Amino acid sequence: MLPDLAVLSQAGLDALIKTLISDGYKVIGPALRDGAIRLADIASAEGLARGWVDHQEGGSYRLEPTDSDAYFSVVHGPDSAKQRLFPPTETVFTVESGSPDRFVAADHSQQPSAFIGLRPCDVAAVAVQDRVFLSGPYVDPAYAARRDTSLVIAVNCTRSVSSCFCTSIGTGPRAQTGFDLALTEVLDPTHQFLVEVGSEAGANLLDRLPATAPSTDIEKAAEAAVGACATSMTKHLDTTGIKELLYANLEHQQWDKVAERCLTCGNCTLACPTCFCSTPVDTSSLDGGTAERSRVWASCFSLDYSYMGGHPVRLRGASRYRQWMTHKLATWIDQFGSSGCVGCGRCITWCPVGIDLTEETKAIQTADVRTSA
Amino acid sequence: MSNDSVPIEELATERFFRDFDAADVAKLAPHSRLISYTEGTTIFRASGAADRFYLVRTGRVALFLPSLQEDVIVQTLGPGEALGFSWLAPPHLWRFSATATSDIELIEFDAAALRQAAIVDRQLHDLLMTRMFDVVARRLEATRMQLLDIYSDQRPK
Amino acid sequence: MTSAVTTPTAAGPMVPVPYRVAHIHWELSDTYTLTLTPESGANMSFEPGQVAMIYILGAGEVPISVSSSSRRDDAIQLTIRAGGYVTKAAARLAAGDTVGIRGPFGVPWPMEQARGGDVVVVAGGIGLAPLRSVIYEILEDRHTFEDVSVAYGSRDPGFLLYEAELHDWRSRFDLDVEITVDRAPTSWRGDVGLVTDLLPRMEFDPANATAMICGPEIMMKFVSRGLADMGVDRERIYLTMERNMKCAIGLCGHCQLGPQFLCKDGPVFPLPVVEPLMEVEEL
Repeated sequence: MLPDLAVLSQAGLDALIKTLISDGYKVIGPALRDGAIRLADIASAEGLARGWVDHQEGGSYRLEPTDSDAYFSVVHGPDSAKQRLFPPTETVFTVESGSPDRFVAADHSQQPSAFIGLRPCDVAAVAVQDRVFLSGPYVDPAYAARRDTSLVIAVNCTRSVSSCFCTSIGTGPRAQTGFDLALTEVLDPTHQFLVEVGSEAGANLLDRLPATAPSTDIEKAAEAAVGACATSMTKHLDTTGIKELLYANLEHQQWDKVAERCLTCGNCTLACPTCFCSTPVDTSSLDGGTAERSRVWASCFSLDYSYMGGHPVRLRGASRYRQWMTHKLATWIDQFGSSGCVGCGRCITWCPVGIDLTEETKAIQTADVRTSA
Repeated sequence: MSNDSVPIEELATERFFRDFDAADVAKLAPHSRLISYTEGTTIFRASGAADRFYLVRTGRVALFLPSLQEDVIVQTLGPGEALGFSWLAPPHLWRFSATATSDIELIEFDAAALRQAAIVDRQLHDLLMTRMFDVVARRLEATRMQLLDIYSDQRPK
Repeated sequence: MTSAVTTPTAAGPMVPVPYRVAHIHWELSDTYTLTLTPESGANMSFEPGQVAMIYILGAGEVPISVSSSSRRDDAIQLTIRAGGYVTKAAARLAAGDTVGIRGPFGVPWPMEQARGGDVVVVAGGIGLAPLRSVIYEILEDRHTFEDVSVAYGSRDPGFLLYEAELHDWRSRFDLDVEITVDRAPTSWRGDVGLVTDLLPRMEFDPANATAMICGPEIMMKFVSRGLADMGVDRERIYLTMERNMKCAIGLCGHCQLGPQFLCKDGPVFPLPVVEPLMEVEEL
């Protein structure tokens, strides 16, 4: 019976990554790319963005190099696991014209992926997308194939940025479930990782690594660091009765107010780790001999996202913003049994004008039509 | 055609008189009679004197505006429906023409007599006004809906 | 929320199955019916009200309600208005061409619930297409229903969908069929006016009726209001809602109307579920 908790050294972290690679996994972790932290294929622990620190707030993302040699000092970047589990474009089927035409489903088999460094909010986001793609009457075969072979090594948070509000949603800063292994990085007095086992696959992996038993000191240090992170959060969203609140306030003037700023650019839907909308794209060869359907990410902010008889249904930016926010915080609950929001704050950071859905919700809460005159 | 007025019990069953009490129906009964027309008969013409009011018993009446290049039927009325509202207020001239598109049976009211009865009886006046307003409002609503041409493209314009 | 969990095609719900065009029949100047037979394997098994996704090579895919009898095992029929790019491309199909079919998708009309009572079918314009399979199903088992009324409204006498069948149905003694148009030349001997105005004259008992309505949203609103005013139980008034459907399996998000995915929670809904959703502008 393997222990639930263990300790890995820095070398142990590297061994973890190398073991996964030799097991045939593509290891994906946060790396410095294009001036931001992106999820990239990494070959060793050195591939991680050591010492970098991110500053995020509405409409702003900045990276700062520091003297720290922490591996996981950055909270997150615009990418989330959805970049890999539900990629921006994907082939669905191909067609060969003939008598008759032949439709061939795309092959979804692929190299297994191991995510290292997923934040608890992102681990929760994977669970949210699991409910979308795997628990309905129709299962997405591509997503299922990728999830069946994926491993999740989460990293608990020991610092937050101002966009974060995972404590309001209950998804962090410590991962509770949905991981194979969860690491907490402790810098003092020794730079080590407290490892929590979350599954049998995680236990088997840990068994092959140079892990040691934890001391009470490291357990306490990890707990303190995560606790400090929780109290450091400045942004809060009151989710009590939020579904009923938004259902009752669909004609609230706040939607028109936010529409004055919203560019309907869709950045929030790109950065959000749970947004799942897509559009099929049908293309054919010049000679019409073959055709292909692929699926690409779509955004409810597009004018032609929803139409009837060729005319857009949500003409006004206000109705499109309302669609996104009420889906994320309210109708999602009726559809999938949980909120679509995990409190990662990316929509706030990556919005060019810094619209904050916690503030928008507050504005509606304080002028709720059910209580106002 | 019978010149006898329509019995009160029969009038009272008409949808038009749904909210009238027996006493009020009795005030109007003397001014009513049953009348029949064969298919194709013009019941009244636009800009003619609107001195009658009808309830359709059986059959179908088409309403149209004959001044258009091509005659277009804008509404048909069937059993239970009221025909004519221009009788109610000045200038008392029909705003459209009405033709029987099948053999029909109507309850015809002498509109001048109805107006006279309403002058002296405030309650009857209010009842008739309210009931006719409802008829006109529903016709207006229907006309607007028909104007929207909702079936041609099945899309919001 | 109920969902129809019919497993459509063997290759999976995302991949079309080839069907051959057996026949194309022009119903109106801009509306045609395709009769499609499977290239191999069994004909698609569906229930009235369900939707098929038809894929035209090189053009794309659109959702169309199946309008043939669900008892046919040789072919399905799709009645399509040539409105956009894909439906205009499909209008140029000839017998022998291949199309891709995915389906059936969606919650069907409540045929079982309607049995044993009166039925009111109210259709507007091309809305008669999704309801034709209902009428066929009723006629297959006519004795299991009580009084059946069909009210159909269209633009003008030249715009009557399935005109020959409408006349056949109208001459039956076991169906009460009334037709109205928005305007007509004086040679028209039928009704002119709203389809709702036909309803008080028809032979169904509102207290014991299931209503199925299909047409433009504004028409479905005033018809359902009219039926409810007549005393039909709101829970027994069904509408079929329309939004663009892309994947048809509840994964792409486009067809959402409030919390409902029209492709899997609908497109048929009882009135109380969709009435509040229809009230909000641009929802």
